[in-house]
Amino acid sequence: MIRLTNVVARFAPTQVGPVSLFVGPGAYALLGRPSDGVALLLEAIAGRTLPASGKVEVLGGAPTQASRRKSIGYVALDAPLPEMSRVEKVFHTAAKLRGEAAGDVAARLAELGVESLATRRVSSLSLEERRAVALAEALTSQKTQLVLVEEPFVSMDPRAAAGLAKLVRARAKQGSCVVFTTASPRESLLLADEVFAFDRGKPIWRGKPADRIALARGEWVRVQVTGSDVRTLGAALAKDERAARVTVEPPLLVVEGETLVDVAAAVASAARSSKTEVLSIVPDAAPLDDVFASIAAANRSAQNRAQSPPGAVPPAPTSAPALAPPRTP
Amino acid sequence: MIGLPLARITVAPRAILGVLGYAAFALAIGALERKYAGSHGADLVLPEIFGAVVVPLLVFGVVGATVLQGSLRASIRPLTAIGASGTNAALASVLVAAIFGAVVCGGLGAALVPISGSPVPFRADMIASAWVSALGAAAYASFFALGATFGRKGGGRAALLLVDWFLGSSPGIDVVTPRAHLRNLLGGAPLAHVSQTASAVTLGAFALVCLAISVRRAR
Repeated sequence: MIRLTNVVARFAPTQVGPVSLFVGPGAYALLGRPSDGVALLLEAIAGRTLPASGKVEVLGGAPTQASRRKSIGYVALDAPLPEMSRVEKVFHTAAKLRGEAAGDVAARLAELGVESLATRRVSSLSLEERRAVALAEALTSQKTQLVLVEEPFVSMDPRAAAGLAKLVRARAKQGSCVVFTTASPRESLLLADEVFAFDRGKPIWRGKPADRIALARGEWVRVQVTGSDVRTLGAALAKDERAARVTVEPPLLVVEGETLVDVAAAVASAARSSKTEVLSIVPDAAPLDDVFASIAAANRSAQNRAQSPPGAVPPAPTSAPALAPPRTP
Repeated sequence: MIGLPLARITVAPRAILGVLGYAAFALAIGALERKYAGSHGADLVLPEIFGAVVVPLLVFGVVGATVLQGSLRASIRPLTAIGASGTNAALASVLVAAIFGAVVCGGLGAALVPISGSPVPFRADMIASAWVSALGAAAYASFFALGATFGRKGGGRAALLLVDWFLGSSPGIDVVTPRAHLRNLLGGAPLAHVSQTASAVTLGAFALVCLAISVRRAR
């Protein structure tokens, strides 16, 4: 759905690239700060910024073509919408542009819990409400095959934020491609099937969020658990070898272990044996700097392992390093 | 797609008040000139007041309303975000401004003929003033829309207004501005070696070329 070939994008003072990648349906995070160029790369994918070099292909062609634009939903940080209309009219206009029936607008807004905004004037909406409306339109349209979102949880209506992960996952399962930028490793854990990390404009890593982000805190995965009785649950977990460290901090229970699968299995087993209810298990994500440091360390050790014997001339680098998909264990 | 730019001109109080204000100014000056100059007031009012001042400023305001006083590209983002192509959205915005400006200025140009004083019968003069004013307004709309594609906040639009003002008043180099050609067509100071037919063709070319470049830059 998206193919980038040696793409470099520039908008002073930010530059990103060269980037080469190919992704199909699914949910993807471009992880990095705005100064790392992730927002600029998203704009290049959307066709809003022409790349300085390289080629951007979206849905088989250039994203600036009219036939492709109608299949792309783009939710920017400022979420511009036709300001002279009511929200319902915006959905009808969008449906006309995309070549589909608008359907029940209130029902579409209800997917993100903001159906009350249907009759409001766009000019009366707050930024958070406007972003929620733009996101609802993009994610509930049957014609959008590619949805691009800048920082989905920043300046987002809390009602929409609560339902966002579920809707993104549903669209990805239906065959759409959802790409979002985020500077929060936690958000990439929540929403993304795969993460592309960028540091100072350079792509540094591609992989499953749990592979690197959840492991970035030292050697152990860390999860936060809420439940009906965290003390009893914690006592049961302390007996399980798979839970390396258990810390009870009501209302939270923090569990650390070697892998997410081990920790999740230990929590499930402890809940059964102690007859307590688990309300949520959320992987704890490290801060972005820790994640990048972990990635840099992993890249360095991979380079050391791949280095030629002393005295040999290393091969000259070819074009941009392609972001190869991770090896499945 | 034309709904949004049209609403920006017709619903926003600032835009409508600007249009009405310039129209009232032109008609008032025309009426005063007729009072003092008799049946030949239009000879002065049309090129020197209407063509040189009212048309560029009125159309500048109309284009400004269409692009929300910013850049053309930024003004079409509400439409491109919901599936419109940049080319079509930019084209719709510029055409709406050009047609609106042409209709208003064409009507004003025609009305100013009898109001500011012209020998009877003035039907032919009214028709000529109408289409010349409409053509000039369309050229200005494309010209200022092109300016709105320069600068992060579309500051090129104001820069082109100043360029038109100063260069259009300088003999020899005024041929590069819509101002000189519009005044030439409205009966003002003739351009050296440029006939009125050539000025009409030049204004038409201005309109089309500036439209094409502005749409390409904004998409």
